[in-house]
Formats: sequence, C-alpha cells, structure tokens
Amino acid sequence: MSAPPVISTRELSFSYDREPVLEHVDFSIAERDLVCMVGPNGGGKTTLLRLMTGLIRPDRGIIEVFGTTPERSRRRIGYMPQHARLDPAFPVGVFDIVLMGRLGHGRGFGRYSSNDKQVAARTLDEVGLGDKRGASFGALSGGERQRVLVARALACEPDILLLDEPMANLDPVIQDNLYALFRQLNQRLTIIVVSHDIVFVAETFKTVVCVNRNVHMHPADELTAQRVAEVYGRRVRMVHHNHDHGPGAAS
Amino acid sequence: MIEFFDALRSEQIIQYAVLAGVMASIACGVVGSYVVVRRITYLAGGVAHCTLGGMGAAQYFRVVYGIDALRPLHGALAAALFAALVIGWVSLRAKQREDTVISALWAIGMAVGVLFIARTPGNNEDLMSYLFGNILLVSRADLYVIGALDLLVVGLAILFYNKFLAVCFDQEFARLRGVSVEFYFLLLLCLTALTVVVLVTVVGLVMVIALLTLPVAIAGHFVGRLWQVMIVAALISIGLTTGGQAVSFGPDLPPGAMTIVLAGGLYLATLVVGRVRHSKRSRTARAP
Repeated sequence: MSAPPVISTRELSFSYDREPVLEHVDFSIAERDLVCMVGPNGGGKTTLLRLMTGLIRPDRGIIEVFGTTPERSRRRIGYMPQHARLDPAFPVGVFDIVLMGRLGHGRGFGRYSSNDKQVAARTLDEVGLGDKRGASFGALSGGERQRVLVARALACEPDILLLDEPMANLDPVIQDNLYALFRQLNQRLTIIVVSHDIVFVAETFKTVVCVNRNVHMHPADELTAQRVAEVYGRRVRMVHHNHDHGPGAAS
Repeated sequence: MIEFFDALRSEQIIQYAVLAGVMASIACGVVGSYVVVRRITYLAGGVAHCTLGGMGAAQYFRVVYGIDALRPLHGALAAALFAALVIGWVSLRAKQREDTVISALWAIGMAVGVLFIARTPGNNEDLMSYLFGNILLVSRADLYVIGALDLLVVGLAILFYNKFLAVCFDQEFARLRGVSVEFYFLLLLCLTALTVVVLVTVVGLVMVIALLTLPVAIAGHFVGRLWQVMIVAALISIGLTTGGQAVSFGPDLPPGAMTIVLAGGLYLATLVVGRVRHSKRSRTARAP
C-alpha cells in the first residue's frame, strides 16, 4: 500500500460571486512530489493554491492537507504569494521579511530567537540573497523580491512548499538556480509551483497539473503539446526547456 | 518667537501646552507609522470624527446633570474606542461598500456631537475647540490622562512590533503563521483611537489625520525601516507641534492650525527637495 497523499480533494468546487472558478476537482498529490501547476489566466491556479492553505474555503467538496483540514496543517505549509500583491514602498528590510516565516514558532509577543535568526540567514543564503540581508525590500528588483518571499516560505521549515509564480520576471540563470534549489529541497519536502507560463522544465518537475476550471494531472515526461492545447482550449506554444540543447538551439 | 520662549520659562499654561504636544507627538509617530503602512488613514479619520459625539455627550452631562468629574476627554476616549471597534468590525466583515459604511459612521458620530452641543446651555465655544483643538486649555489632569495613554499606546505598539509589522506587511502570510490577524487589526485601531484622543486636544479632531500621516510621510523619505520611521516621525512631530505653538504665539493665531500648515509646508518641501535631488542624481548618472 502506498503512502497517504499530502494533498487530496474530492468534488472540490469554488466560485467568486457565483462565477465558478473550480468545478468538481478530484486529484491527489503524493509525498515528495515536485508539481508544476499550469493553466490560463483566471483558470483557477492561484485559487487552488489558496484553497490548499485554507485562506479560502471551498463552496462544495473536500480538500485535505496531511489528512486533515488545511487550517490544522497550516504550520507545515510554506506559502509564497505573488509579490505584486505586496507594497514595494513598505519600509521593511529583507531580513525582517524572512524572519516573518519564523512567527508562530511559539515565542511570546513575536520575539525572534537566535535560532530563528540562524534559520532566516540560512534560507536567505539558499535563495542566493545572502548579501542582500541588510537591504530594503523596496530597493530590490522584482526577481529579488520573489526570492525573498521564497526564503520567507522556507524559513517556516515546512513539509510542503506552495509557491505562486516564483519564476515570473526572473532571468534564465536565476531560474535555473531556483530550479536546482527546488530539486534539492524536494529530497525532503513536497513542492507545488504555480506557473503562469507554460514554460516548464521537464527534467525538474515530476508532475504537471493543468488547471482550467477542472484539473488534469500528468507525469511531466508524458505531457505533450497536444495535451496542453486540449486543456487550454487552443494551440499553444510550449517550450521544453532542456539543458541538453546546444547553443543556438531553438526554444 | 522670543516672546514664546520667555513665556515658556514663566507661564505654566505654555509649559503644559508644549508638554502635551511632545507627548502627543510620540504616540503620533509610532501609531501613525502603522496607520500609514497599513493604509487605514480613512478608518483613522472616521474614528477621529466620531470622538465629537463622545465629547459633546460628556460636556452635556457635565453641564446639565452637574457631573463635574466628567470631562470631554473622557467622552472622547469612550467614543473613540467604541468607534474603532465598530469601524474595525465593519472593515473586517464588509466585503463591499466598506467606505460607504465608514463615511456614514463618520458623519453620524459628528451629528450626535452637534446635537448634544446644541442642547448644552452656555456658549458654544466648546465646539470650536473640539474641532480645531485648543492646546492652551490643557489642564494638569488632562496631562496625566495624556501621559498614561501615551505610555499605554507606545508600550503596546513596541511590545507587539514584530506581529504588527508582519500583519501590516502581509496579512495573509501572518494568518498562515498562526497570528490572529483580526485581533491585531482591532488592537491597532484601538491604539489609533487612543492616539486620536491625545491628538484631539493638540490639533482638534478635524486636523488629527494630517498630524497622524504627514510626519510619517516625511520620515519615509529618509529612512527605510518601520522602527526608524516611527522615531523620525515622532521627532518631526515634536518639532511641528512646538514650532506651531511658537510661531502662532506672537500674532495670537490658533496653534493647532499653525502646526498643520507647518506640517503641510514641510511635506511639500521634502517632496520638492527629493525631486530635485533625484533629477540631479540621474543627470550625473547619465553624464559620461
């Protein structure tokens, strides 16, 4: 018998103001899977991710995280929202933001311990921003802000990482570094990444979840352009970002 | 100006006024910073204007029923806290039309105050001092109340700094870390209410918002951490309230209004200086 799924849904439906976003969604994600969630804008990717955190509740159906409600499993979830939701003019330092991932680790009044600071410094190093520790959030580029939020999610020391578009606006070298980090982290935790583009790295992700009001799962290596086009309802350009390409290879 | 400093040395009224201004400025810098970064100045404005209802009611019961212990400051305190909780509750619950409901509460609070003041025997000079402040009327008893509120507000705001910072920066993430976002939001509004009460005596309820936001906006040009903004905003605020009193003393102008005009002027000046410095820097950057 296989291990119980980390996340599972049954007949999950959600709508904003009676406009259905997700309908009859049934899927489950196994432990230490590395999942890429793709789909068109407004297809429900972010909504599905937020349902997994318990920030919103389903209209119908069930969603379970680690065999219980998302609310009960919150402490085991590391969540990275889209950085555009945050105020870039907010007077806050990079290290302060990463430390927020240590909140809820049981200290009164929200004081941080030296262990908290060590964890925050380590995760900031992991995303390659160790030298930006003293910088202000507003002074960073968009890509750096995203990585700060990834570091904050990692500072939670989660069992599952839920990342909303961590790759948007990143240059290819930094994307590759992040993908390498995900593969490394995936040895000990489950990772779900939302991607706005259908650009994905077949060699990084194990599973691709296509979200467009309902959900289809595919092993990453079996996914074809035709299958993606079916989900999107139109022909799409799909890029297999493969490191075996020589220089000048079309992408 | 020189007359002001002479008076400051000899006149107790002036000393009380300056002290009230300094204490109000500290709470103002700390809580104002949270209000600005959390973007709830409109809610703070609603709370400020609702205090008129409390002050009017307190003065009415004091005069008509002879309850001498009751002072307008007490009424303001009760009304501000009540308004903060109601407005906070509306803000948390209302999915749409939050601003409509808060505007209505804003006006109703004022209207209640106007009705009480109209039925209070005697002249209606009180209304002017509630609306525009009269720092020269600060009594020793008021100073104690202001001092106690100041300690409470600043103490709580500093004690929960990390949690307030997390809730103001990213409410959803804080919620996922098990922080009770609703609790800290309401607590912040209550601290705002207490700060408003302290400020009402200094600049009056109409101008509270300017003193709550302008020093923070100015400080934001110079420093990049919330705690630094708090300190700088408090210092700017102390300079503005004291300066407002000093400048208005000679020509006998209302010090509250003078304080706000100074604040507005300083804000515009920092904007202009910032613009000039920015364009100078980009010109040097472009030069070969």
